[in-house]
Amino acid sequence: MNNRQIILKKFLMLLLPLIITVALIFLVIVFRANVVIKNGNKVTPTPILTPTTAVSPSPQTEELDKIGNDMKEIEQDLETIDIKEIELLPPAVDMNVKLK
Amino acid sequence: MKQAALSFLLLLTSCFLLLTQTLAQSPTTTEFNFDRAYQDYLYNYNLYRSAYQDYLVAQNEYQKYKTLSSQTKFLETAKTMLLTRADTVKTYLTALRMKLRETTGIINYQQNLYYVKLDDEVAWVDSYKQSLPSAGSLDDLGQLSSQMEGKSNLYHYLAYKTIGVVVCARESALKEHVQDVISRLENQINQIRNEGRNTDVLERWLIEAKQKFARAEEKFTQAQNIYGSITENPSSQTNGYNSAGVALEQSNQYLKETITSLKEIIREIKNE
Repeated sequence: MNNRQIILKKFLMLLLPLIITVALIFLVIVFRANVVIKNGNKVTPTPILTPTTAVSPSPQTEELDKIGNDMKEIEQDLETIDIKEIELLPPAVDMNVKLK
Repeated sequence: MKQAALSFLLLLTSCFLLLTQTLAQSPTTTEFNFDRAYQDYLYNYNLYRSAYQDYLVAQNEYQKYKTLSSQTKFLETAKTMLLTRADTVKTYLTALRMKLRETTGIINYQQNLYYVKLDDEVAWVDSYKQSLPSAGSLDDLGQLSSQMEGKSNLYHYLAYKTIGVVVCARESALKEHVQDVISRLENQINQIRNEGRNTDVLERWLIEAKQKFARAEEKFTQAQNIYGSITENPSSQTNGYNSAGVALEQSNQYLKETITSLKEIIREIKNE
């Protein structure tokens, strides 16, 4: 075995694990991303990444959320409402002055 | 040298322009609103309190010594006290008017009715104040004082009525919001029923919420009636104010309970 062959062998020994690792990762990604055939039916795999567009809620849920928000506002108003207006009570001025 | 003078002139011109712009932007007059009117009232009320103390001291001295100088001092302090009292009443009535103006949901005719009454009294106090300095004796001043005292019950009446209008308008607005929420939620339940789903529980809960709301309305009407029955009689004013306050608190409590029930309905719909 000449020098060139030895260098090539060492190089392959180093490169091989790297190639295998990359291939495995690639396989995993492909396996997860593609549609998997299971018992003859197409099964959509769970996506690796979360979808960028959120699923829009139904009009009913939207209306319920709106009502919920309005109720929160009403609750706050009910807590803070001033039903006495004490500051508006008449001033305690002497209305029975005796000038004697 | 010439260049330096030119740059200095340029700097001065730009400074002047900047200053005029800033002055033009800054508001020259502050808006007159309830807060301002209320601060005016508090300021005058404090002046009155101080003048009243001086008046009491002078009265005490006059009653003790009965001298001409103590009489003159008593007359002057009494005059000042009556003037500050008039100012306090005037600014107080103005604050009431501003409160009426700034409260939303008051029926127009009701608002205008109290505007007219309050404005009339403010105008009367203004002319009354002008007559005070001319009083030359304690008797004159006593007569003038009793003129305002004769209006005391009317001022209290106007105050309690205005408070009633303001708090009822506020409570009414809240009640309308709750009514609106009930209607919208009822529509949602109807939709669910039309989809063929069972809504028995939801409907039962909605009926309970509506019953609580009806109780709130009942208490609100009670409070409105109490405020409506307030007269110029002082005892009717304080009693009315207190019992109307209790009724409004109860109305508020029922509204809170209604909201709690409605929240449960929403939670149930979402969990189904």
